[in-house]
Amino acid sequence: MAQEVKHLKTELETTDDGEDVDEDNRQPQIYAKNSMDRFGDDLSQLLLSYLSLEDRFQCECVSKQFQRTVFVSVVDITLSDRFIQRLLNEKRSDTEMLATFAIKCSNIQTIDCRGITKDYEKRVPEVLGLLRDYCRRLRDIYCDWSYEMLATFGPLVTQIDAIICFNGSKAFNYCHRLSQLRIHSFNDIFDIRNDRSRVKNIRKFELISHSYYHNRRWPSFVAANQSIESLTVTSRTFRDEESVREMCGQLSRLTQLRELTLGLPLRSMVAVNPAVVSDSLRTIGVNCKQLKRLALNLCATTVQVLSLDSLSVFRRLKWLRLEVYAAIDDQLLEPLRHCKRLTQLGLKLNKMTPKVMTDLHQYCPRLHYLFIHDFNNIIDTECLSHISRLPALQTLVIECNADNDMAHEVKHLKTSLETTDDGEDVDEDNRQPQIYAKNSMDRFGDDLCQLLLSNLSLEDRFQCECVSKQFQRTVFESVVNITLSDRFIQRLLIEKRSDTEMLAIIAIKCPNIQTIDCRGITKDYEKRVPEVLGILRQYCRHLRDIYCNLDANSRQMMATFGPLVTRIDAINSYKYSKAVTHCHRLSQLRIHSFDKIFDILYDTFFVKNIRKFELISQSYDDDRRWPLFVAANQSIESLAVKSCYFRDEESVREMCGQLSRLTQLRQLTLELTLRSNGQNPAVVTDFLRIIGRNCKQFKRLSLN
Amino acid sequence: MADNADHIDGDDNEDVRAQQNLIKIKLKSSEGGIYECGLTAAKMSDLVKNMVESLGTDAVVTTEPIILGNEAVTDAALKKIIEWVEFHWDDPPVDHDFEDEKDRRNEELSHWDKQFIDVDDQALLFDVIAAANYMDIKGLVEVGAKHICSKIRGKSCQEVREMLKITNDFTAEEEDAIHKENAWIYAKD
Repeated sequence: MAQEVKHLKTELETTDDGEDVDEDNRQPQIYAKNSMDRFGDDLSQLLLSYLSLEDRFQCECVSKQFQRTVFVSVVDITLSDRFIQRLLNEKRSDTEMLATFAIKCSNIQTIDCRGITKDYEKRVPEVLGLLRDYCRRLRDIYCDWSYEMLATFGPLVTQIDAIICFNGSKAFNYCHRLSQLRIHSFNDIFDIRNDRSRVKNIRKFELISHSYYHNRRWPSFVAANQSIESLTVTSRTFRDEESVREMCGQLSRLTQLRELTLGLPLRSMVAVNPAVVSDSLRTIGVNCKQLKRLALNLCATTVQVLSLDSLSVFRRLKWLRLEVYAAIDDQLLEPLRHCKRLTQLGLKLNKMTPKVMTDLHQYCPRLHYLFIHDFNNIIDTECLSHISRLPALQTLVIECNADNDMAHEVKHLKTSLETTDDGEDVDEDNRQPQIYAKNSMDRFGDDLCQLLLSNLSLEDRFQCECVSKQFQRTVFESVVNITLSDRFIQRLLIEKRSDTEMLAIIAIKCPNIQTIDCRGITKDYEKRVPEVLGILRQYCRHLRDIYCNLDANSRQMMATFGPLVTRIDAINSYKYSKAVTHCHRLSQLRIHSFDKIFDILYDTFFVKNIRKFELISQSYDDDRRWPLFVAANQSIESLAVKSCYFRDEESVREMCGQLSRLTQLRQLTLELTLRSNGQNPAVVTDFLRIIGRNCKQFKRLSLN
Repeated sequence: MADNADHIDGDDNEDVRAQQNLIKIKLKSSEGGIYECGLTAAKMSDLVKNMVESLGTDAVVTTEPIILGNEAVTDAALKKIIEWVEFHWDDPPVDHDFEDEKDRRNEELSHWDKQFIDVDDQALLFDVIAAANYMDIKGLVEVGAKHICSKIRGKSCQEVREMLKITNDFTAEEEDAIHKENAWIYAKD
């Protein structure tokens, strides 16, 4: 096609090198409609401004117009280790490449070097120095703390993220244009000699871990930084109510404040008066008239109901996020009726009830965006109907606890609300549902897709992960049970390397695994089982059940994974059977003989409260152990005893008598071997009668 | 919105906008086609907005259509543009206090926009972009730009040229020199 275009141009008699402009020729150059050549430099520059830095260099030589325009819009760059590594060849101290780079991108205004790690931070001054020489418009440098950096580039530094070294705070004196700062405590920025703040006139400030004993520093800080527009203060503790009031009183002097994030942990204060929060907020609300965004994080152990009446004074609030771990009443949001401009609301209330939402559509009729963290499965149809009355709502985000069964239900609910496919956002006034071709699988929502794919084998899932993003999102969601086999371990853990990366990737992709069955692992690979389980447990937060056999090397494994083990199929080594005591959640057990689980020293059983039990061979001796076993395992619902040998009728009766004490029994499988010599078949009938009388729940019986 | 006027309410404003969009104005393409468009939607174009404001709303509604003279504003392109503004006119306004320009630039296009801009006819696509640029509809130009950039991403120069029908006006030597300068891009880790 390029050729064709050339051809076209020749036909139209235009000059192709763009240099010669024929004065008489009034007609502008005519380019083919479908060629990007038709755009002028300004539009070309605009269009290319969305390319990444790398892409820009890659397509620099597409045409002279590209070369002219592709770098004009490089205004912000972010330095990374990789960038430095590639541009400054370690062995040469050659900065030529970097210089070429700087000449091409001469419009750079902002350099963010906060992502540089220790390995390369030494080279940052060199890179910045060179860029500064060529980029005349460089105004802003964002960086982490480093004395050398600040001493050299201080006047350019406008954003500092973390202060690691405490004794160099003098360097702040160089940064007179600093506008954004994030620190841990006031110690980082205060001059200890005169107790004054070294920073002033900043606009955005984050204080991550404030302590009340630094409260005395607020007045000096606030006085020097009246310009603050965005403030985040997360406190660690407060001594008393007075210290809360004191801090909020100082904050209320920041009249330019537009955004405030306040973390108030009142946990440590005994018997806190809930009014203190409301009062403190009122002070801030009354004085900071510009405040538009407010995020509150409150924790209190008080039994008294927390009230946020004073929210009503935040008249200009547009955006509110409440995270409250304390008792609240259903009227919590009522004060918002005075915040006429509120359009975004986020709620994370651990004591929330659906009633809190009841009149929200009256309080906040302008709400565009609503976020709710669903702590207690309160989002039900009723609650959604409250939400659906919000007239202006465009986006609804419901966040569920990961282990919440509700998540599934909500997904379902969402489908019925005809939502779009990105899962999180429920577009209430969804006028145009997305339309997919009827014969394309794209038309299905994530939930349905997940359901459809849930029948795939684990291997198939990995094979078709990259079919589409939707596949990638949904194909592993339903991986709940996995069965480990020798082959699985062999493939994932390559014997010679101790490389577990592949396994970790699987675990990350399948975070919903609940049950792992490793009973099929043979001796060859059983040594590697703990390693595999360890990795899976680390990533799969829902892991609840492990099924396994008990082998010689299980003792250590049980100490670690015992609490997760719910099913044991075979205890192969008597010696280590004590390991079973770690498995206090054990519910299914299959063993050869009682010996494996009987502690001869103390005459007790290692296992108790199991629900399903299978005994493969019962011997004469076991008669006397039944009472103990039955007493410890009243919970048994399913019992199978195979190959029972009895000395005499009495022992049959005795065992049956014991079994009849298992009142929860629903299923019983017995293989009785009755010797013909002198044993009375009536014994079986008697036995059944006793069991029938006592085990009322009984539903299934198989008798051999 | 004026900062110290407490009575101006975002919501009333929205109602006004919805009301105004019921008023239809006429837009005329460079090919002569005349199309109707809601007033609020049409005002997403700064060009149209300025014209409406200087002429007065009443005049625009009752009299001649607004003529969009740029050759890129073809019938097909104008139809596409009206489709876009009619879908987007009620987007919440950008809050400059908080929304970071950089974040917005990096945001992926919505599904609707992707489908909208993914036109097979590249001439039409370029018409739409050029026309949106002429009419000063920043949001739509951005959609076009993101679309084109997503197509360029990861392609070689030659592929880009072929795709976007760009004439290679470099000599082979010039091209080699640039490749040499940019060698670091292709460096393996």
